[in-house]
Amino acid sequence: MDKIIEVKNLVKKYGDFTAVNGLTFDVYRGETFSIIGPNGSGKTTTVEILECIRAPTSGEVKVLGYDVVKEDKKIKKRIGVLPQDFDAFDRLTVEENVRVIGEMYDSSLEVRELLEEFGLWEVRKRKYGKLSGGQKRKVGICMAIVNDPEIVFLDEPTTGLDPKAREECWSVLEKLKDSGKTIFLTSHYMEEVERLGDRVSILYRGKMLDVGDIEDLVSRYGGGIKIVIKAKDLKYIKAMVDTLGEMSVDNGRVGAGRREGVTFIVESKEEALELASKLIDIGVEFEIKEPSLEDVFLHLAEGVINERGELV
Amino acid sequence: MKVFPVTKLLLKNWMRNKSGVFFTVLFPIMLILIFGSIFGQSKMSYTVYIQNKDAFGRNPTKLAKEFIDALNNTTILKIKKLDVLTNPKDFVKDHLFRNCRVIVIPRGFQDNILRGKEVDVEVIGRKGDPYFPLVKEAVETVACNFNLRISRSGEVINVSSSFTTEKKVTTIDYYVPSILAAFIMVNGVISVASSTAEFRSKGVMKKVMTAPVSKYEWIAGNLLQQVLLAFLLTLAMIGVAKAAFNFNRFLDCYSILFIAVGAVAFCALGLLIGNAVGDVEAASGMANAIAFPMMFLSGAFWPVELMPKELQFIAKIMPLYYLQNGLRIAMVYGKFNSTSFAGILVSAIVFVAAAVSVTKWRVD
Ligand SMILES: Nc1ncnc2c1ncn2[C@@H]1O[C@H](COP(=O)(O)OP(=O)(O)OP(=O)(O)O)[C@@H](O)[C@H]1O
Ligand SMILES: [Mg+2]
Repeated sequence: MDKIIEVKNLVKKYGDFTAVNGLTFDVYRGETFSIIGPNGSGKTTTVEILECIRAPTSGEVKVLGYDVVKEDKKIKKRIGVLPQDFDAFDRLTVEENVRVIGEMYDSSLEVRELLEEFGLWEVRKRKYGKLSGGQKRKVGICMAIVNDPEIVFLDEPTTGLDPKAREECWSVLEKLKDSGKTIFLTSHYMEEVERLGDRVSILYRGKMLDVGDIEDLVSRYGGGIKIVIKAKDLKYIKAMVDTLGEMSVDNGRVGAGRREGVTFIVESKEEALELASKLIDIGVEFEIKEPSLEDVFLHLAEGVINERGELV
Repeated sequence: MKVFPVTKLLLKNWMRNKSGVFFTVLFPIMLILIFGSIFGQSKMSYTVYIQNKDAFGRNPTKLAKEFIDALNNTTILKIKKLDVLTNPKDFVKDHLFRNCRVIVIPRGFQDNILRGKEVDVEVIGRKGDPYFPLVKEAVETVACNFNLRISRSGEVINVSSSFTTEKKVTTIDYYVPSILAAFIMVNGVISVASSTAEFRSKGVMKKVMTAPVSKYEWIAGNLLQQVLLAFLLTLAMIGVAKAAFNFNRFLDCYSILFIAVGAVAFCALGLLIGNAVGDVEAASGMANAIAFPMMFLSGAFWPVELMPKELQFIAKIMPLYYLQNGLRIAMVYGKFNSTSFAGILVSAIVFVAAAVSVTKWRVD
């Protein structure tokens, strides 16, 4: 496959502080590659080095086959960028914002088509400053792809949006993904990465804990399917665990009894179904939880990222 | 070349900012209207001391008196007397207000003229006095007319009556170029500094940095925008001054040169501040702290000559002094003042170089 980004031993230091500590990864043409990590893990630093606007301390970074330090002009023509916390020109209209950026490139997409595609044509005459958060972000995405780039860098594209606006943004980004562009995404929303990403790299304190297909990572680190039994009465739970312990399926482990209930962890879907049918037989309420990226993250970084991007 | 898209973007952004438009164009025009209505009709003149050595006791000879009256009638010169005991050169040097000039009428002025001999009228001034050429020119004009009358008819009595100068300088002539210069500075320094800091804080700067626009193109686009705005302001101000006060000066190539170089210098200073100071508030605070003292100290609202010596020194290290001085001499007298031009050109070069060095297209 065609490597569109190649990063070898990338290090970025701010004074004595090492923000990015020896990253090595490749991105292939046409895929959506995500970096997931909590606040301060080095996502923006990495993306900005790839975008040729931040100087790496050491390492080799190639984008579209060009060196980011020496051949930035050639790279810039062919990439599109949505910076973190991006705000466009407040006093210009939606259409003007997209046009002024388009004019900075030798060639650009038909603005009308682009805005129609994103459902922004109706609000094209509205001032950017008067738009809703979700609309603003969509304008930012339009501005990122107006030059029809080969790679689109999106640094936390939905952070700070309400769930509805986030959902809208995701459907826009799915369209973008379907158009075959290479997308480089950073996020601290597991759901976002699971929904959009092909491969994901897990970044924590400037180090890449692992990188791979989301499904691979989940099956490697996800830790099996969870069956959570909800019950409030501890005595009842104990009794039930005793019974189930005997009738438990092979490989089924009884997870740590948390206050809200008991968790069984099984490796495969078949095992889960078997256990589920037994639980139904004895009339117990339960919930099946498939392993997710969150579990991968929990396993690797020993914490989960909350809504604000903090590791807890 | 991506300079024009940058300029277009900046102009659009400026146009949409109502308070920006107000302060860039309307506010200076209001000032002109206010200053013009208060002081507009009074005439502008330069103080000149006359030391008359051709006298009988306290009374000047007839010709000397006529010569002095003729100088007085030019209206451009405001005549004061200097006693004969003072050394005129020392007087010029020691005078509290800089840039005073002394005209010395020699002993035997009348006798020599009547005998057809040459007389030397000496005009003494300070080196670097930008108005000295004008004063000298006025004296020469007077002397020339004097000579003509004498050699043509031998009649010396009626000399004074026909005297006028073409250049009547009114206060509005002073204020149009001065306020223009001051606001070219204010627009450059304050609005460019705050918009640059704003772009940086909002991420649009990053957006431009990731586009194939070099930092030189970005800077050039900014400079071009400010030059265009400076000419817009110039035309608006001249138009208003013409309509309201019969202002009758036009743009010549010297004024155009000063306006363009001035706009470049102050825009570059604005870029320098906006890039060097990260925070939006701090950047505009600093821009104000630089622009306002400069505006008041550089002779935009009252002549530098009227200020105390110490302040005059400060005025002369301000780039605005050179812009407004040079622009006034160009607009009102149609002359090119090379000291002023050198002052503003050097400022422009220094500020542009500094702006280039603090504008980072790849951060560390
Ligand atoms: N210019 C800078 N100077 C010094 N330290 C910096 C600078 N920029 C970032 N850092 C530090 O480097 C680390 C990585 O920052 P970075 O912005 O890359 O993280 P991030 O993953 O993008 O975080 P977030 O989710 O908050 O955007 C942080 O600890 C941050 O404080
Ligand atoms: Mg970030």
